[in-house]
Amino acid sequence: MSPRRVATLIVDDQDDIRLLLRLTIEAANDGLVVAGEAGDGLSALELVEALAPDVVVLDHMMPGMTGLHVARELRQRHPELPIVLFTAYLDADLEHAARAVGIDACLDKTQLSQVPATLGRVTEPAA
Amino acid sequence: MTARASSAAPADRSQQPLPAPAGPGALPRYRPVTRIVLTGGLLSLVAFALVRHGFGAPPAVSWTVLVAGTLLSVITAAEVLGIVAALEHQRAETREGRRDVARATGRVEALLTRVWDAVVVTDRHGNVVTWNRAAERGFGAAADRAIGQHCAEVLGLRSPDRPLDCRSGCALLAMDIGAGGTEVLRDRDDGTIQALLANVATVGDGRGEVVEVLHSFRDITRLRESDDAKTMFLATTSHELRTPLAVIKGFLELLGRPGVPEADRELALERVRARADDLERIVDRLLTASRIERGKSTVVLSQVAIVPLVRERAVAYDDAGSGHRVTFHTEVDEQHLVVADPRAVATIVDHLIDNAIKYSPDAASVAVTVTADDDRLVVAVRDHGVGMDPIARERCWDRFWQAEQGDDRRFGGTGIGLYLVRALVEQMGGETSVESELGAGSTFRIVLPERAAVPAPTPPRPRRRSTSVVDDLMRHAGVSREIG
Repeated sequence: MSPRRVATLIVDDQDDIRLLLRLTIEAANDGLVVAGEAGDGLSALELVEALAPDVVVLDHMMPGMTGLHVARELRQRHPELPIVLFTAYLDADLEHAARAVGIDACLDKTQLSQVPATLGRVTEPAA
Repeated sequence: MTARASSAAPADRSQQPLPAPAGPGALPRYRPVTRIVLTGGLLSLVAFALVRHGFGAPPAVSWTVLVAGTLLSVITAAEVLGIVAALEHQRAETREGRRDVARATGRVEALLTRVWDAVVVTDRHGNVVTWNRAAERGFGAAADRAIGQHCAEVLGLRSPDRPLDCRSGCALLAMDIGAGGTEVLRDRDDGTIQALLANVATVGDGRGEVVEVLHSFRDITRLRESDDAKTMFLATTSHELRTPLAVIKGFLELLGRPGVPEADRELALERVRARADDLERIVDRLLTASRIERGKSTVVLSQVAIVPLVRERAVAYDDAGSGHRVTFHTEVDEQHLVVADPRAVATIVDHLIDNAIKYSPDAASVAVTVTADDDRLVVAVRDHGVGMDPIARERCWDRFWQAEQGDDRRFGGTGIGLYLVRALVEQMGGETSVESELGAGSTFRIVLPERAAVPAPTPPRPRRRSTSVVDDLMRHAGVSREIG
């Protein structure tokens, strides 16, 4: 049985981190694919409408809208869309704020290797 | 002997001028004594007359009366002189005491006026009786308005989570604070929060009752902000270092796996190199800041052709693919010389362009220009980005200061970039300035002198110049002394 396909939208203002996420997701080879990449919050909102991804990997500290702002907006438009916050600034306060806006999982940028498994977990259909 | 001794002393004192009694209140004390003197003198005269004119009195009696009268007169005169001298001594002490009190009062008034700390004295019920100038500045209320008011109304102090309750007695006294004082907060009318180091002491009536309460307040707002900024700096710098490290580590993990396409492998290596350069730049800035903090010179001055140097940095950023065009324009001659450190100029221009790009995410271009102004050269970096409000414009040069705080930060950075820019420019004898408007972008300018303030040695060779940033540091530390 082939793994289920999970289309991921990557949102980060730093292009090398987008590249790193893309290569990591593609290298995982378990159905994860990159649907698209956005460099800021507004582009992310547009691409979610255009590409209908299964999950969004979202940076927090970005010029313009922060990750939390984007997540809040996405949660209103797509209550079921899984969101993973992927940030270099993760601490208890930010994690608490992320949970409060409905983000499904938080990862520190040093936890890159956990990204594929986390994407798989948050997109698993409810039993 | 005793009598002689006792009569001699007043006689000596009588050499001193005796002032007239000070007022009507002192006169009655002299009357009995005066009477004794007059009686003694009269007796002496009578006795003398008896002896001289022989009114039938035996000469022995007359002489006895004469001697007794004279002795009486001398003794009473001595007593009078003693009393007068004692009174004079008492009055002198009173005058000295009054002068002491006047001096002490003047000293206290001068202290209250000059001291940087706000001093507020209340009576036992909490009503203000003394309110010095620093209190006027710090609490924004004139003394004539504050005096007589209850301290809770005019001070408006609170702990971090609730107002201080001074209604049932001084809340600061109830805190039982030590000699170091305690920190309290106050909400200013403009919405900002003032941090104050409070101290309190009581004045007793000598019978164990408190009659007044002395409060002093030192404004530590800027000190607290500086402390918070340092804490923020440690946190943000750690993150600034972790991001490139995470990227480098992530790419290295990927490159260790088989099957990564060659094109991606090249891209990954290029990004690893770029991030390693970022790390090097961050660490260099931290080291430079550390040297400046220790008052050490960080520039080596020489004659520098600045136009090609600044152009090179602008072109490097233009080619770096940041998404921004970085343009360069000058009408200054290519070989125009200034006294500067080329490495410091490159660091400064790099940082200003970095900043311009970072804070103009939605703008397309950054303009770098070099112009001549009298005997100085001006390097300007203009962006069309988010700009700054007047407070940010004022404070952007401060060490560790960042426009954004907390989890909603969007732009990153360690908060030492512009501090370094200013310190380096000042070490080269130049000046910095900024024009900015919120939403309309910023223009940062550095002005460098064309000639050294001190003639350069001949033949020209690099020269260390030890202009420190003491002023900057003093300003940074000294601001905490301001009240208000």
